[in-house]
Amino acid sequence: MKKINRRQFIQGSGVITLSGLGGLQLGMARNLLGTNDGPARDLLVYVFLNGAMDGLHMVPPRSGNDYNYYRNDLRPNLHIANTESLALNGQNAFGMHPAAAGMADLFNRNKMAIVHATGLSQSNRSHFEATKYMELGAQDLGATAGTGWLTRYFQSSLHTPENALIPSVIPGDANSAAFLGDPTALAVNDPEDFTMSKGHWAWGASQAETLNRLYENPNSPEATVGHQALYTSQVIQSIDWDNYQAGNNAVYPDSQLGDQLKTVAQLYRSDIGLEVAYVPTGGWDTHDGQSYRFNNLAAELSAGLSAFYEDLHAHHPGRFTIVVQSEFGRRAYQNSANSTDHGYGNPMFVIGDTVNPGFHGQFPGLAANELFEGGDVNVTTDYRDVISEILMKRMRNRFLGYIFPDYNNYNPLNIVQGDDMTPIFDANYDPIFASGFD
Amino acid sequence: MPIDYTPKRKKPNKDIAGYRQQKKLSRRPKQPVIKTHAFISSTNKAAANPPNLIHRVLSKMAYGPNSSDVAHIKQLPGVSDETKVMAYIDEQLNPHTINDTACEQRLTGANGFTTLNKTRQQLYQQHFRKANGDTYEWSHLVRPSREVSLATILRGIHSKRQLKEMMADFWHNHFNISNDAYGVQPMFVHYDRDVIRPNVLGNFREMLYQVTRSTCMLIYLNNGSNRASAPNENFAREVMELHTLGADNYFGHMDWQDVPLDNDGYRTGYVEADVLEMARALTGWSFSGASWWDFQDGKVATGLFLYRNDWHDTGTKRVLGEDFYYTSANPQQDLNQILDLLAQHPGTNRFLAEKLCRRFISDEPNTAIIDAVANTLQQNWQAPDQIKLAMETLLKSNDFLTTWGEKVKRPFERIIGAMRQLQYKFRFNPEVEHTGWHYWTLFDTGQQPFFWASPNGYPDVTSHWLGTLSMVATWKFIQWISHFDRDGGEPNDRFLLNKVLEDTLIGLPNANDHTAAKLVDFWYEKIIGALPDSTTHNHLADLMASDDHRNAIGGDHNSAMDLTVNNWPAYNQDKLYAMVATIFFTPEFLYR
Repeated sequence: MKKINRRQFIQGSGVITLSGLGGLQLGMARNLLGTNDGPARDLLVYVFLNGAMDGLHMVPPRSGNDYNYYRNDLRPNLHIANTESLALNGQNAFGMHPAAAGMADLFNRNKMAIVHATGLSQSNRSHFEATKYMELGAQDLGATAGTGWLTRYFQSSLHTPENALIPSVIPGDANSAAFLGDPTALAVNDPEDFTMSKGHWAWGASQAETLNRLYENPNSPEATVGHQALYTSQVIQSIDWDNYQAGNNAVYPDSQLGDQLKTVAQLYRSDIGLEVAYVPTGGWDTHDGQSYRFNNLAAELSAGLSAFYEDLHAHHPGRFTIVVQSEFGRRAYQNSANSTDHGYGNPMFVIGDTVNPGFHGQFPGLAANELFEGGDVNVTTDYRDVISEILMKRMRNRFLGYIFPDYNNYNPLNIVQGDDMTPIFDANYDPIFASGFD
Repeated sequence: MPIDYTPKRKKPNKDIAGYRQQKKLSRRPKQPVIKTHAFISSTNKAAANPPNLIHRVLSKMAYGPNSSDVAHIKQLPGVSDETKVMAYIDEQLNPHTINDTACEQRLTGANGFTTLNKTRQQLYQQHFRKANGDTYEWSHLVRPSREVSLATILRGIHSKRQLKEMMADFWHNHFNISNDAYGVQPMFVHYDRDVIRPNVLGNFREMLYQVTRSTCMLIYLNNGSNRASAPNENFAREVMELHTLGADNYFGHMDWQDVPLDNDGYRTGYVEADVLEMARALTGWSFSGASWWDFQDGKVATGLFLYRNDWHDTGTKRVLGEDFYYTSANPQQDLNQILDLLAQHPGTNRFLAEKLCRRFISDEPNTAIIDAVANTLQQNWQAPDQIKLAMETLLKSNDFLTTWGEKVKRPFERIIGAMRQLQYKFRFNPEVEHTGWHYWTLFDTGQQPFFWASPNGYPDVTSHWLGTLSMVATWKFIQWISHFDRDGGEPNDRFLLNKVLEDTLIGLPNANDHTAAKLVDFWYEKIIGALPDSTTHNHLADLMASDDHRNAIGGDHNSAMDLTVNNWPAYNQDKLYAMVATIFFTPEFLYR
């Protein structure tokens, strides 16, 4: 089965798109950049903690006034005492949840940056609204023209090779709205199972071949998904999943997240052009039973990220960046179930060999007059500042106004190493301009 | 450069699919012109040959056509398909008048269903918590939920009350409860049988009230432990955002005084403070068993609704600018009056209307039909048949009758639709082997009913369901059931579960017609509602024409084959099942 040009099927949005430009001009843009494939770039792994991870539980205060507010006033029955939280190198103010030893270890080995108090520029305490804004990459949804932020990332990525087999993957049950408008994004849960294997013994093979023929020339988004499913199924079945040896003898936790991260690592190792992995994980909406539930979630996340880092580092040192975030943080004070309701500001974690380790950004404080609307950790860093810095320095894409349509104020915090670029805030995307007038 | 974090006092502009900017319900919307002359709009993108009317209607208000429902509609009174379809809609709007005994008999104890008739209290005491508060073992905990899932599959395939099944699916998703949440599964029979199903074509205010008091929802969104000393706002937020006013009417961190009033004096939206006030009003609405004390000192927890006055905030609540008062004579008055306000609010009725239109018509329904359905809902907000009246407006509209392909079937709809066409006979007995295979494989498709993790329910827009994994998993499920031949663990339980051969011999009684070309066209038209284009026809006929499975694909499309035998090397019957299954994998089968 032949590989279709995936860009042809990424919906246009009324602006200039690569498919609209045609191959000649695209080639010209590439020549102006001086390369066909661009410089070596990272694998971007975006881990989304659905449900709102409680940042004050994961990265609890350890000293000072904030610790006193946290322990005595806000969370008398829920806090992580400073005798229990894990110490972080060179830090007095904050520690790590005791179940997250792997994450503390990454921090202490200078492989992790933590950005304080990030979030949407306008608070919204609805999971679905806030998640939608992040997946679509804008709070002004009219500006997104029905595409997700990663769809627009790929539309404007001059360096993504045309012949990349599987540039994007969502290891999960369903597609993410971050790829809205890109029917070629690969959603796959158990890769070995991703094949038409349930046919009748005599006729299953002919049936599968007939299916390939039916989808050979897709002419609608629906047919394109079928085409892509059949095509990527063949690619994935050519990978030896059973005999995978994780790098550095990394041991993934026996959990869904462990399997998801392992799938990403295996695909990255398989040289199929993987560029972005969107890893959805859930369970963080701890309105009740938080102590117990969070403990398990933090342990799973920490063990997963730790193994994932070791595995990626063994084969692609310096060639990956992992970002971890939630739609928002949780309320600073506990609720009637010794747990927490929805809040606002929350830490983001950036992991890789090229991070500038330590804490970044400004923690706004936990005094009553410092809390947002009297109850939430405030936001001091627009989460798009964090992602945009990675997009430019690590992914070499500076079409920030196209990827995040209502964003025009790039404030890098120097979280990762790499050459910064001049951001382009135009909501339209024009690679000729980008390459000719830099 | 500092960022301006001053809350911007405006609603976000929302105008992409599914999140459109809320347009105000006009006070006296014109009634839409109802036409029964159905035709396909010329912009139809779904198929070269659009399906016939009966096929379209059964694909949109039912889980797809099957032989008996098509035959039933054709014998209804009327001279044209249009009038027959109108008669069918009238039947479906009154499900109690439809005899469904044959379907319901599949759900009895004789078929392994042991919990569907248990009372709420029996479910609690026999499947959730023992007298000392300990929970039962896992198999007891999950059994009621499993039986509801299997009953939902069986009703989808066999029930003649197809609209009721579609409505039950709609309201279950509207008031979604994930069965992954601890404590929901033992009580889910109550939620399905007593809370959702009696009201699917009834009154929204009544359904909202029953949901608010249900053990499942009180557990799922934590209101069972919501008390005045420290309110838990989980349920309060979702009631306003997901169940009534909708996120489009959320004004965020604004003062309530700044929310504009409409002509009738309603605040046009809600703000963060309203959520907190709603949470206060909901304090004390709980169930027996929600507190540790319910199991102490010889008390017996029942799982029944329990209003706890000592947990209730007795202060005045201000919601949407109106004050609601607690009285000791009628301590549940404050919340009940708030539920009244929410149920009659124009924002709620428009939100519900838009969701109904999105479910039954298009991802992006027209404003006029939304307004018409919203108007019917609101004019009749206290009527016991409020939702039925609204559905009549919807189903008899041009928007419903004439459109095609503006939605895709979700995986569950595709699978049940295939089972209906195959006349799938599997028993789905909870105690019989292979039932579990069907149950667990549904998870792979991304749409196991009642297991969407969040309270907003399975998405109802095409973009969500265009995923490679869901596509392959759904195909594989159909690939398997189309030749599956076991209905139990015993050797004598082995028999074919589909009726493809019977339907073929009825439709093409002359053996000379059993050519690859005619078999393909017969089944394609039956499943898709129209004839295939030549490319599709030829690919399917190439599969059907092969006379040797080892050397497959290709052959004479026009010579008859013997369907009475299933012998090496052609295996004609198995080949027929494989070809029929492949029609379910075409892009055309996706549309509804």
